[in-house]
Amino acid sequence: MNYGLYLSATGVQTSLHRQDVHANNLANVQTIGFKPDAVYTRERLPERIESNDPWASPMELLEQLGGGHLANPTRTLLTQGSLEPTGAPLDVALDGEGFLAVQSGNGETLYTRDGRLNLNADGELVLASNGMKVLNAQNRPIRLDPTAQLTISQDGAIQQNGTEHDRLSIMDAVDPAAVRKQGQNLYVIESVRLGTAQVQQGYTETSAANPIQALMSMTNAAKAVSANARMMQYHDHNLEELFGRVARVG
Amino acid sequence: MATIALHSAASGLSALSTQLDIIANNLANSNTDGFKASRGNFQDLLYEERRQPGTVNANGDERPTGLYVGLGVQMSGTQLDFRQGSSRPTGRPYDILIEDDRSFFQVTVESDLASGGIAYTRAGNFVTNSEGQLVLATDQGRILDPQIVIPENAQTVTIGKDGIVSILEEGSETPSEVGQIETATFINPTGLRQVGENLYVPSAASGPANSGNPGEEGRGGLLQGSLESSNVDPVTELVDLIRTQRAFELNSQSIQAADEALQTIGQLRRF
Repeated sequence: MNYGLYLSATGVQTSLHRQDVHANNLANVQTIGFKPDAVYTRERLPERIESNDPWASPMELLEQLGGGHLANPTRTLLTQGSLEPTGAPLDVALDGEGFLAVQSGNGETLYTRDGRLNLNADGELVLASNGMKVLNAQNRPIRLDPTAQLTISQDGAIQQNGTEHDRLSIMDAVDPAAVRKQGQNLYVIESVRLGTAQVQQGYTETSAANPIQALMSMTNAAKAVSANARMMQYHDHNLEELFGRVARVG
Repeated sequence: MATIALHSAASGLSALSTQLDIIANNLANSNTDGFKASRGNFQDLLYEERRQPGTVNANGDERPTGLYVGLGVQMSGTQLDFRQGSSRPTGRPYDILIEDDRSFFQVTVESDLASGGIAYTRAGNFVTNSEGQLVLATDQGRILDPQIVIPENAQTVTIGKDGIVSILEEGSETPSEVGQIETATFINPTGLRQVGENLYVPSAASGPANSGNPGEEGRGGLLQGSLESSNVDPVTELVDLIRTQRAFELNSQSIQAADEALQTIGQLRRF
C-alpha cells in the first residue's frame, strides 16, 4: 500500500497534538503557579522493529523511510515563574524546587505551586481557589488564630504573636519527570522528598508559560499540518492516477 | 485533535474576559469609600489522559510517564483584598473609620438580603435620619445596629476610639453617653458575600460574625472624622488590564491557528 500516506498522516496527528498542548499553555498564561507542558515527538520505528515481530520479513527499502512520527509523553517543565508582589499576607510564592502539600477532600495528599492561601470558617489554612487544606510538616491541617498577625518566614515557619506556630510542608518530587498534573493547579507526585524552595510571603508566582513561544509553536504546528496534508493530497492523487489510468482494465 | 486547542483557547478567552470585568469593576470603584478590590483566581482545567503511565510496550519496557493534554483554564473564584485603604480626613462628625483591616460596621437590612437581618460594611459615612438614628448615607439609609439616636438638642457629637457615642447638650457642660457602636469580625472575611451598596453578608465560608466593642479582642478602634478610601490601586489595575488584554489577544490568535489546521484537514479531499 501507499506507505507515504500513513507517514504524512502521523505528521498531521502529532502537529495537532502539539497545537492542543500549546493552546493549553497559552490559555494558562495568567494562572498562578502554572507550569507549561512541553511536547516531545520522536521518529516512529518501522512496524517490524516496533512490534518486535521475529516472523515479519524485513522490507529493507521501506524500512529506510522510517515509520513516521509519534508523540512522546508530555513533560511538565518545572521552571520558575517570576515572583510578583501582591502584599497580601496570605499570598506565598515558592522560590526554588518544591511544592506546597495540600489535602484533598478524600484525604489524598496533592501538591501545588499556587500559594494563594486563605482561612476557612474553622480557622484552618486552605487554598483560596478550592478550599483544600494546607498541610504542615506532620501532614496535618494548619489551624491559625484569625485575629493575630501572620508572618511566614523563608523556611516556611508560620509565626503568630511572636512565636512559631506551625510550619508549611514543602516537598519536592524525587523524579521531576514523574510529576502528573491533575488540574486545579494541583499535581500528583508518587514519591517525594523535602523541597529546597524558599517561601516568599506577600508574593505570587506567575505562570511560567511563555505566551510568545506558545503562539509561535501553535502557528508553526498549523503550518506543519498544512504541509503534511498537502503531501497526503499528492499521495491521494498518485493513487487516483494509479487506479484511474494505469491500472484501468479494458 | 485541534478541536481541543479551540476549546482551550476559548476557555482562555472566557476566563480572561471575566478578569477584564473584575478589573473594570475595581477601577470603577476606585473612589468608593470602604471598597475592597477583588482579584480573579485562575486554575487549569482537567487533563485528558491519552496514554497511561506504566503501560508496557511489546519490548516489555514500561512507559515512565503518560501523555496528557490540558483542556484549558477556568476562573476558580474571586478573592477580596481586605487590606486597609488609606484614611481620608473629612472633619465631619458622623464619618467613622475603623483602624484595622478586619472589623465591620453592622447595619440592619431586610431579612431576604441577609439571614439574621444584619449586613456588614467598611464604609463609615453615616448621617442621621428624620428620627435622629445614625444611618448609612446611601440611598437605602441602612440603620446602624445597635441603634444610636442623636437627640435634637445635641450640640457636639463625639465618637470615641472604643465606640462610645457621647453628646454635649445645649446648656450642659458634661457630655452624656447616647450609645455604643459595635463592630464585627469574621474568621474568613474573604468568604463574605458581596451584595452591593458597600455591604457584605455572612456565608458558610466566612464563619459567624463575632461582634463586640471596638478596641477589644483584636478589633480595631474607631476614628471620628475620617473615611477609609477604596483600596484599589489604579496602577496595578491598569497593568493587569494591559496584561489581560494582551493575553486575550494571544488566545484569539491561537483560535485562528487551530482553525487554520482544521480548515486544512477539511480541504484534504478537494484537489
